[in-house]
Amino acid sequence: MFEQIVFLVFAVFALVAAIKVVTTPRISHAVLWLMSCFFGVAVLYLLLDSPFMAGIQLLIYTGGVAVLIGVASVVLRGAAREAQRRVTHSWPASIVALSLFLLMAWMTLELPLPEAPQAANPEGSLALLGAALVDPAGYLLPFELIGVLLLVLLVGALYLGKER
Amino acid sequence: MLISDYLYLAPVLSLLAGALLILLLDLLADREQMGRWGWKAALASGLLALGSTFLLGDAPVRVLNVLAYDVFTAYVWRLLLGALVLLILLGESYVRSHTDEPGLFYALLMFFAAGALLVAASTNTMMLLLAVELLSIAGTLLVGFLHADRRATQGAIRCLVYGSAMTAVMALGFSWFYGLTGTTDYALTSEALSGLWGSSPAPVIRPIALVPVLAFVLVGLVVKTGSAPFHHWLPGASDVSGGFVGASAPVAASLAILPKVAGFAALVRLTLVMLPEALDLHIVWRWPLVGILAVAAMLWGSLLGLRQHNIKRLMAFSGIAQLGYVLIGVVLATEAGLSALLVALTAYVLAEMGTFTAIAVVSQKMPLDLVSDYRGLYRRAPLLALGLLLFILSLFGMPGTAGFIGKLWLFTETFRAGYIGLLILAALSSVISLGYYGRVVRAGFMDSDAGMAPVPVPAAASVVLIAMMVGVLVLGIFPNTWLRWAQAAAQVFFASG
Amino acid sequence: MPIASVPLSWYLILGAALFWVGLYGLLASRALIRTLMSIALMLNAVVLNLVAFARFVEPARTAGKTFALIVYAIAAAQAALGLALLIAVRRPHSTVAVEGTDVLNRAPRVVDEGKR
Repeated sequence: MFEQIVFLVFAVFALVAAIKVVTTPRISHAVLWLMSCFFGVAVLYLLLDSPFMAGIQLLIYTGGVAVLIGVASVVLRGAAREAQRRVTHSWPASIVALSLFLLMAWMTLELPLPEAPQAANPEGSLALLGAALVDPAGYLLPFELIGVLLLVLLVGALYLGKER
Repeated sequence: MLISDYLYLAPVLSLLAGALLILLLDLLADREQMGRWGWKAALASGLLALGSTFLLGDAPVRVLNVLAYDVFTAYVWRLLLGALVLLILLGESYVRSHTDEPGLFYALLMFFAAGALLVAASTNTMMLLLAVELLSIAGTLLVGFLHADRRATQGAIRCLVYGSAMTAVMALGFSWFYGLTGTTDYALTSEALSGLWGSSPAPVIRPIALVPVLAFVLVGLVVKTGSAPFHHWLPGASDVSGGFVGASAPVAASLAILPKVAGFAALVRLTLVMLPEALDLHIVWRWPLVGILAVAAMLWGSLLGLRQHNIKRLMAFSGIAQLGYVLIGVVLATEAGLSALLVALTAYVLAEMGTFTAIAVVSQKMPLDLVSDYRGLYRRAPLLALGLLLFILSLFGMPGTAGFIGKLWLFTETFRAGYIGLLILAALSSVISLGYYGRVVRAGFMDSDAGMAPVPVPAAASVVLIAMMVGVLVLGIFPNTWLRWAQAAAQVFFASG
Repeated sequence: MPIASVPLSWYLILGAALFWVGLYGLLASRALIRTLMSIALMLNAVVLNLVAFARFVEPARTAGKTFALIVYAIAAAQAALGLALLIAVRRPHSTVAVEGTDVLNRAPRVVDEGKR
């Protein structure tokens, strides 16, 4: 019961924040709402017994992505001003989004989903995750490939940002 | 076990090593030197990668739990790497004269190609997602590479916005597959789905409930890779500065070819390994979903191609239509259908490489890329005009060219499998495409060249053109060895079952 | 907390809602910065799905969490690339917006209005 209340509070919080992100006219407010939304979802990860994911969520999303966008909107002040003027409400877009949401909600109720969560692993899921990331029979290659992806990005972003 | 697994990654690793080497050289050398050495280093690592695929043997191997190396992978990798090597040759003069960072361009191209190889071999949904992202981020940067040209940066932004949306949609679909099965491996997903279906007398999942998930995955994958120029040609009011037009010809060629080939390989693997054949899911995926996409691509590409006056755009639409024909191979999902798919894909790559080479050459001289710039080309540059004619005939499917073999086989298999409606639509689209192919041929061969200057053809472009012309003709006239390769590659998915 | 009293479907429905709010933002917004935020929202919803699924369907939870980490990496990469492009496009010109109000009908288009 307690968990359900916590879930509902933070789910509603995250959802309202998400809607604010796409509707609020001021870009600086949108960034703050985006951070709030990520924070609300991080709390849900705690409910899901995944404190590690909650931490990552706060570090990468709230701390990284949202702050990055925030800083950019401050630096590129003109772009932010422009964005404020250009907030629009699009009926076709909301109809598309809403109908796809209803489709997904129907699907969620239609498909057989497990009722009870898996028991917590005695070894600790974080240790298992760490092992899987460096295990050739696990997910070593995707883990390495993340490094390649970030290198490409770093090099490319440096090039794009270079003064000339 | 670890070392031997990495051996099978040799082609990918040589591309990555090449990219890192170029980045390193870039720090030491100045622009002039990079212009001279960058493409050689890239070419060397591309050739090394291509060569290493011939040393790996034919036995199917599971590489590091997330990739599969087998004859199918080898076929697709050779196709990709062959195209890459030619692209480097082709782009050389263009890159030297048009960019201020040639080293970086080649490094990005290597990363891009490595992403394509990984997409083609992936057997795990998260691996596929990541590889597709590597492909698309490197591709976005390549589009935006010609920084001085503002149109290129706009093209890159479009690429990023559409690409990211498609990544998200695809990831959403894969998250559901994971949620229903508890695994991200294709084969295990297939087993788990069969288990969900078969364990109880009444079906546990109604297949219809999974259709949205299938559609997300399909749309995400195909839009993001299979039709890379997709996001460039959505029509915009008064918009003539779209990304595909903005991107330079060598970039356009690599964006059109590499992701498509890799995306098709991934689509084939998803269809045949991840979706259990016995389930309705497999059927739903093939006929309504992939089939509709095939029809849409064929008709859309052919009809909108008719309206284009810019030859790069025209060829982009033609590419969409070609994509539709190749998708038919996935709809069939039989051994013969799959062989036909590989054959058609190879023919497409040859003709497309050739066409883009020709366009790139003319574009150096006349950067507007209008069809009318090709007036009387046979007088101004005979080799170029002859090549263009041959490639267009191959794309159309003229007997004696590689494209004919691919199309004929695909259409025969479609007929044999009983998809008559699909066959009629494909034939119709072929006929429509004659309209715009004819326009290019007419401009090149029938219109007078009054007032048009001759077009000099650089040596590298001549090499690529002649190689592609020989390829198209040889495969069109003596296709036997080639067909056997394609059949061997297709057998990978059917040998055990 | 021995039994999670919140059913899986609640998380999934929230995930779907966040995803499609993000898509709405993508379709409706004309500014590149907001487009980037919308994409971040969509991928955030995917991660929520994955973490919730991992709790309910996979005892070891490694595949789900690895997948989630990969989606994080992708999200960070896209945001960073988007901002780099924003800076690149803005330097010679004054303002940037991605135009694309009409659903699926018009491509986002970068327009620049008013030189500084």
